[in-house]
Amino acid sequence: MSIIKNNNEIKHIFYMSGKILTAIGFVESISLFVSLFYKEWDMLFNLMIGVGTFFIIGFLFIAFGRETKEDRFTWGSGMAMVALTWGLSVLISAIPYYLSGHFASYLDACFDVMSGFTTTGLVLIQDLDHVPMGLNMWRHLITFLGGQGMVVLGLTFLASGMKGLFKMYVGEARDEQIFPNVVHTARIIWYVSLMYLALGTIALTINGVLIGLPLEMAFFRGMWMFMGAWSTGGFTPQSQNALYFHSLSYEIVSMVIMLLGTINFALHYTILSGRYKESIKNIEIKSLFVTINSFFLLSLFSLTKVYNQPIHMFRKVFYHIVSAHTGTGFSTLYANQFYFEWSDASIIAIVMAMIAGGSMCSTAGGFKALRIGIIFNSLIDDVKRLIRPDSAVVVEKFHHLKEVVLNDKVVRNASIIVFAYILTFTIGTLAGTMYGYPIKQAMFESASVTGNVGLSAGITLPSMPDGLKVIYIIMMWVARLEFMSVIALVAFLFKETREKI
Amino acid sequence: MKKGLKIKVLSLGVLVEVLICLFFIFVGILISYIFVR
Repeated sequence: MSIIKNNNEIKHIFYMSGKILTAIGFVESISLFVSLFYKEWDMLFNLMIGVGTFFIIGFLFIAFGRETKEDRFTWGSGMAMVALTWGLSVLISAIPYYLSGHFASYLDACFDVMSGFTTTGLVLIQDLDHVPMGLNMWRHLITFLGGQGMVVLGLTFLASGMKGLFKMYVGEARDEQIFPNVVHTARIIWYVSLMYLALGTIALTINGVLIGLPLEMAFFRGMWMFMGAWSTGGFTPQSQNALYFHSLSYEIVSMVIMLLGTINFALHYTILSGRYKESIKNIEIKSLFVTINSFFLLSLFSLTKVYNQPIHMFRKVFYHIVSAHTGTGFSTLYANQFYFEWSDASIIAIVMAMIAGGSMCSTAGGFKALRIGIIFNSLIDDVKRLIRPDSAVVVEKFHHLKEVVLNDKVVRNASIIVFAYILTFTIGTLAGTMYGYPIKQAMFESASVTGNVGLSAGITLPSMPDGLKVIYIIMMWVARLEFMSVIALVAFLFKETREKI
Repeated sequence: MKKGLKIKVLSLGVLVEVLICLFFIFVGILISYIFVR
């Protein structure tokens, strides 16, 4: 039995993909205005080609496809649609990147776009400090869009009342609904993000002016740094990353935005609508607090000889643990400093922080704080079972927006995803070592790719082998979509090919 | 959607969220000063 039942579903997939591609084309148009404002005629032309391609393919898909009237829209269809849209979006978004001349090959451009959409933040761009304003705008729009989810974008503006929306929403690793209606949920995600975009840009612009940047530069850098931090993407408009600002206040504000970005959108909504106590009762907040501080302490004890002042320890170690744990990837160190200065124990701590990641239904990657909390609670529960009398019946619960019963199904679901992440990380590490990199570097880079983080220990360079670039692209993609959507697309393609043979 | 939308820009909720993040950062500073001398 095929995972996609009939032709109507295939046409519906094309129809939905077409709508989302058109929506992304509209978002890319924003960068056209930036190029126009700064009279970057070459970049304007490159971006017009990109926008035009989105519209042409989007309209062709809408014309070929058809909205299904059937209620039976399978999970396979929803997930395959998400994976297909993500794949095509990357290929089309890379066109202006490549045409800008800042990439050695089209593969490098696709790597950067995938890194943006998955909010990873690893880059292969060359001469970043002289990139046109329009391209920088498009780079950061991609990472902002990827943080919220491109399907969420489509649902927000284009898809009201259509079939199979919830399955597509889940396919993009968003499995929590704030409202019973998925379109309303998607709108809340964008509402919260745009509200914080305004507040965060104002805060960073003021900070930028106070540290001596001209107003216009402070505004654009503030807005782009916000997009990089909130989306936990880690893109910056300068090659020195967050080190460029040399400012404690800028680092603290960016840490606040990174932490805000890693909070679950359902939790954002709960707190913003007045239920403040949820912020201290929630399992994800508790889990993040424990793991961030545990990884920081582990790094701290092994780096006291490198950073022997408290303020240096805070700015160089705590900052990177927060950056790694939230999946952002902002850095105030050069890549090689991790390899040459950081001890093995601190590398293990930051690797674990990168894979652990942020909250469910947030912009962060990794296997998420909720799953860590669930697995830890089930471990405690199992120990309690051993010391309780056999006749005792106790129902274990945890608090995530409401009291949730800790049953075997919840634990199994969490364990499967955690296992998938660890497997992906292992494959990435093996790939790095097989291409000749030292295990410390390979492990660091693999964790950064698997957790969609963006910190680098020096492997991710334009000169890295093409095979490794492709492996990292696939890893970023499957990890961001939490595996199931890409597996559904591959299973669909495999099944269709085998049936034709 | 408007019926269910209860959040407001610049509400107390934003302040609560920012304070949680600042608490995380404060603990980081505290740990640095306790263990590194």
